Amino acid sequence: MSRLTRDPYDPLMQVQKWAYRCSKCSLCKYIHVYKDKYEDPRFVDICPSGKRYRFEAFYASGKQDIARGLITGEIDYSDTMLKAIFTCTSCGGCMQVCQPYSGKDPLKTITALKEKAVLDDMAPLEAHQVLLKSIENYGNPWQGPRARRGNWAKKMGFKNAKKEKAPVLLYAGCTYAYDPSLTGTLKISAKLMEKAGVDFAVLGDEELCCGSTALRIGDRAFYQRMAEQNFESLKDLGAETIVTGCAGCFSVLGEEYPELTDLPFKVKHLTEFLADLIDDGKLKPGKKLPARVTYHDPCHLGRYCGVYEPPRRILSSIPELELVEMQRSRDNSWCCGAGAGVRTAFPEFASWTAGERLFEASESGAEMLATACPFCEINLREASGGMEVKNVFELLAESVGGGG
Amino acid sequence: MATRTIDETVEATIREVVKKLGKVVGEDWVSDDPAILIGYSKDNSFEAAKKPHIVVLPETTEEVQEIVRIADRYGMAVQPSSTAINCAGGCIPQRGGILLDLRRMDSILDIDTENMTVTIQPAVRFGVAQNVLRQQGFYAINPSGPHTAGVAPNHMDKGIGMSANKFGVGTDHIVSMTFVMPNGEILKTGSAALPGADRVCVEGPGPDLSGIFHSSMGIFGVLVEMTTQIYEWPDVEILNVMQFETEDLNPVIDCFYDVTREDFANECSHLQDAYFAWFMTEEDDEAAALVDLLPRNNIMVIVGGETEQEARLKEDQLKRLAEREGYEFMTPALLSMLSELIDIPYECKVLQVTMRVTRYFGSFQVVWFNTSLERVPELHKNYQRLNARHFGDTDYRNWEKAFQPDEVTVYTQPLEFGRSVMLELDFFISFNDAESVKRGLAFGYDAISMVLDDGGLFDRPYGGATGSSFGSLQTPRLGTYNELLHELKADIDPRNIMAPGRLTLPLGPA
Repeated sequence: MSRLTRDPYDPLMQVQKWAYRCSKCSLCKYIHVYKDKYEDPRFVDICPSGKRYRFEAFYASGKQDIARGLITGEIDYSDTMLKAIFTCTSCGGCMQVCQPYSGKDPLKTITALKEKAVLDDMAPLEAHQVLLKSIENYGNPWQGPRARRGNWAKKMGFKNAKKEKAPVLLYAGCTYAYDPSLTGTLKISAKLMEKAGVDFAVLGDEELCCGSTALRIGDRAFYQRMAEQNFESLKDLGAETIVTGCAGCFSVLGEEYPELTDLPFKVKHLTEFLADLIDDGKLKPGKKLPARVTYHDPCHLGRYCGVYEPPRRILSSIPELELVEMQRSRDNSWCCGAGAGVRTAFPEFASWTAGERLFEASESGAEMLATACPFCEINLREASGGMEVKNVFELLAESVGGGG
Repeated sequence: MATRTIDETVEATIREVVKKLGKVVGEDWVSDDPAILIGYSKDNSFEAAKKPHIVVLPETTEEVQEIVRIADRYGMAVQPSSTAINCAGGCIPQRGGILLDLRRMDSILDIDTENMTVTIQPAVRFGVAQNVLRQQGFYAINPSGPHTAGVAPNHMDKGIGMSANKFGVGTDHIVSMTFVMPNGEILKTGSAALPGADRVCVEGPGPDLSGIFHSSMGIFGVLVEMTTQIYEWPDVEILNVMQFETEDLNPVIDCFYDVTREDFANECSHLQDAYFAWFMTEEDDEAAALVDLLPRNNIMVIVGGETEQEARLKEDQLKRLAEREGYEFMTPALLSMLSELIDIPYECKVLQVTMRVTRYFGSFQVVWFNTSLERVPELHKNYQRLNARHFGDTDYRNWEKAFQPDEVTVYTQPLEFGRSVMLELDFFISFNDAESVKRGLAFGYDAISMVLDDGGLFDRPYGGATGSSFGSLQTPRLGTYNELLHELKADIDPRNIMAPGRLTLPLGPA
């Protein structure tokens, strides 16, 4: 029986044209071969789930067949199908290589499949339900009490955005705010802004989840509720710019919210903001950090929002830090493996994906991998097995000195 | 005693075979889940969607042998697939069975720069091969397809690229092939047939068996290894475009006769304006703007050599020929603009951009066939007339595309110094539009019939990218050739397990 309904908002309805039009050219499987340096055949795959599981269904092209099968009623949900759909990290690699040639966006079909599975009560997956329940109960996916969201900023003396107006709002995001291994990064980032004389405020305990997690695991209705609540809490603060260090929050605030409403503020990623402060001479990296560092492009920052250069500008500004590129970089980047709830639901696969990235990093000759996303940072660090993984903000703070 | 139904018996057999295959390749690499199977059921052709019963992903030749033996034991069909990007229904299992997905066999086994050969597994893609070879100053002849296409299967299937005027088609480069035969035994062709002999000679100990595997689409065995010729990388290349502001293709063919028999062109092919513009641009409106600037017909001639001096010498030869015969070159300004648009390395001039044609409607169907150069103008005219008959009533007032479908049609590729030509006449359909598919099928049927009546030869069994349903139009005309092929198939594969239904023969079960 066809899973396609007459509802014009049925996700399958939105993508059925493309599900039938896939040319099966396989461009979605590999990096844009002739765009970047391409010498090592070990680092040419762009689709983590495809590379790991190899069956066609785990690639974007196979997902078009799954969509077609659900539309025609030729197939129905199975555990294998759900695995094929939800091991996709939504990294956008397939979109990046397919779209310029075919005009098609295979990621839209994958997103539609996730949303359709939720509407058909086949998802959220059990592991994802825990995340959503936590967002429902605690306002964040990590089961952190609401009253502790602002702990990271306590005794720091930052302005409270609800009480004092400031042109810039530093939006922490759930992961930076709650993960004890990351709150330090958030603190030093805020101190860097303070040191540069930026007039900014934070929301502390009153900050809400942006809804990114719900969106990426296919629960669009849940996401929209979160987005509306969050937007309500942000719109009247008077901030001209919202800055966040979280790549997930950044892409949702900057790219998804405008689909729902007009934003009265600009959204910037912290790397963009800090790179501008360096260019303006307000932050001066002075301390030498003699290390060979490679930069891992977070998918939500790079492919989703096109922010490739600012983090590299920051790293290049640090004396004696040598920036080396991996074969798969910028829009050809290989995902860290954590995105779209994959780390939660398929931890072994997420770890494998991170391991592939770290291997590539070591083959580039780097001693250290830097990134600019909390999910990438955690996932890569846990799989690192020796290679040092740091956030761009940390490295900048070390070079600027004085704890930022 | 309860008896099992046919469906129950089939299901039990599949479960049993899955279990046995799992023991050979590991449980992770075999599946009979419909969500997995459907990924192998459809491609970009008119071929009806058909799922296999099982998909298995071996990693070694020994595993392939074991799989084929299991299939033979159970009388189960085996459909090989390497990179799974055939656009002519070539990898769609006609009779279900086991889909042998060879994508894990993707290693370059040996590069012999002294004797200019490379030995590869079936799933090595052009993108990988070219880049690895390039680092050693060589390249493999590439087709006009994406970098994701497999070198070995493409060569075996007579892949054609822009260099075919000089180097011929894919099969012309094969030194040797290794097959797993339907009984699980190994067969090596070419000089590799003799244990201990160097892989340098294309011919086997004659009569040469290689030919029966050319474009055989897996019906005689599974290709697991190929040694193919490689060529020295030309360090310097110069693109020249000769232009013809005429609908008539006779002047284009005259030029081909003149240019291709000389030895100075590394690459030489013809594209009409709309197709050319489509390749060169990323957006529809850019293509529309470019087509206004381009001459109607264009012959691209690429000369090259190890040094600038050598390349210029060849270019001078081309210019002298053009002056003598009165051929006109594209203006330097336009050529310079085009060169910027196609500023991509040698091995992929057309490799990747060919996929851009799918922007047009989502799918394009290729009627490609071999003929002599002199027949091209008439075939083209007849094709246009046919196209007008089928699509002439299309209402273009609300046409959202830059070109009408009958405009984007022609790519002419001379083969081996112009002795013959591959003529590609395309048409566009949208697979999510039933009316478009219906019209496309009707047109495809008439187009193939027309080509056959006009002396064209479909050298691949499926009859161009339009799929085996059209390829079968040629088969009844083959007479004894057809009958002998059938007998060969029966002798080599008596249980008809290898890609059954793929030969499109109306005579029997193959």
